[in-house]
Amino acid sequence: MDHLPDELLAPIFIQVRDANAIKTGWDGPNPYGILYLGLVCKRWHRVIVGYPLLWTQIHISEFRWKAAMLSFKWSHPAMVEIYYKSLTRGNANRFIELLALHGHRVSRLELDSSDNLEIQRILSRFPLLCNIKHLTIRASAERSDPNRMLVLRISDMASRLNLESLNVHGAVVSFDSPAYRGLRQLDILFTMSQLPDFMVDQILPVLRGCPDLEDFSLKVIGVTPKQGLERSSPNVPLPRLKRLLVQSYPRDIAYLLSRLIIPESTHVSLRITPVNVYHDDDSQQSDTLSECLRRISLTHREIPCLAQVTSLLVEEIEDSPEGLFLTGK
Amino acid sequence: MVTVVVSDGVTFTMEQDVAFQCGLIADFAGGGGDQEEPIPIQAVNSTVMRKVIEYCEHHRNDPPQPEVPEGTPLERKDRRGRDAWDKQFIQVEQELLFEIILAANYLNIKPLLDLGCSQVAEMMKGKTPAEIQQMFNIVNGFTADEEAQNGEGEEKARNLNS
Repeated sequence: MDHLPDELLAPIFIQVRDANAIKTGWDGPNPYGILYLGLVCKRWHRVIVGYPLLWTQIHISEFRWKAAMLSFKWSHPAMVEIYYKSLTRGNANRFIELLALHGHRVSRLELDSSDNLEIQRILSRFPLLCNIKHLTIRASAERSDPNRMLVLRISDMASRLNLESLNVHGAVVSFDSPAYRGLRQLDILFTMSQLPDFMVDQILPVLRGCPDLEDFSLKVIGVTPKQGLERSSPNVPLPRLKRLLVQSYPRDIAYLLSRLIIPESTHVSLRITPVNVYHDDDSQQSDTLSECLRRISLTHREIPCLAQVTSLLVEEIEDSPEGLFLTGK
Repeated sequence: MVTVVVSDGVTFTMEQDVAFQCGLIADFAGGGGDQEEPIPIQAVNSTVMRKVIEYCEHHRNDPPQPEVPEGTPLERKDRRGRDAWDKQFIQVEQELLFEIILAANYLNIKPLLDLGCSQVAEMMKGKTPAEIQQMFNIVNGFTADEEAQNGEGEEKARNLNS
């Protein structure tokens, strides 16, 4: 090991860091992370604190927070990726302090919190996060109070952002005018218990707000409400779309597809959730596998965007807990 | 065909697609036809070179790997996943493992370098700094004061958990 030059120790340390593999001597997560390796010997310590690429990712949870503050060498010039996980409330203050000083160096940010207010407070600091390219938000709380429903109003921040990809789980985003042209990838996932008032037509302004999307995924888990959908809204062109994935109740899939104008080459994947669903005649019944297939095969011919995509060819059908999986092109 | 001569005088002849996985040899040969003169590889001995050639022969038909890893750490970790052959190949004595890493670095064979580093990281998995010192026979070099500071650091870390 002593014969390995410093520049070969660093990639080894990166692999150790990514595997979170160092034993700290007690149960639980490793608070010191990569810095703990510096206790092995003086040379390793020198390499670890002096190699910027080792400090380009910070994983912050409630437990690791102080350690991350201690160990991160902010004097290094590298851009950083931050993975923030808050297990309880109250961690945001110091994190926001950190962003106030170094937010411009963050290129990727993942927020995972059960506290919506905390997420909103962090996102309110977005003027400091102008260099973020990839943003992931996981709002993990199940909320019965619709007033606490998390709706991210991206347009408020759009003029100051350079986002290329946005992944939002447990919440829905809102894009108002003007259109946000930078976004290439958008992934939205939530359960209906998290957003009980959601209706699929709320997605159209979102898509209208980011016309340069190349990859869009909407996964809605659970039964959608039976209210009527807005049929008169104009269709949404997504001329650069390469991949479209929609998982929801068949009526909502059909509605969304009927409002999109997408290129012929788009790869379309549909996942139909075979749960108890509301039918248009307000009766409720359980959709079986064959019923779902029958319904989508009937409706897809009426969907302009699928007509452009030659036809919906079923390449794979997988009966999984998430529902049926159909892939077509 | 490409011929190399290593530090202990042994010569190896291999096909171009095997040899050119070594960036150093590809650069030396200039991408041209057969080499008349053996290429000197002074930093690698014959034992290690045999292992390197074994690796290159096994991976001669692999598609090129992306230069810059992308995605989350987990995705990067998945992408580095080793296949069963690689895992078996890199199960060698510690001294030979470090020689393979040095050779991969010298010969500029990125996948083999990654594999070797990954194996060293794997060896550290689940071990304390003291156990790592013992495993690699490392003298820590800290002064008594630094040792004391390290101990305090560990104690602080423990307190964070309480």
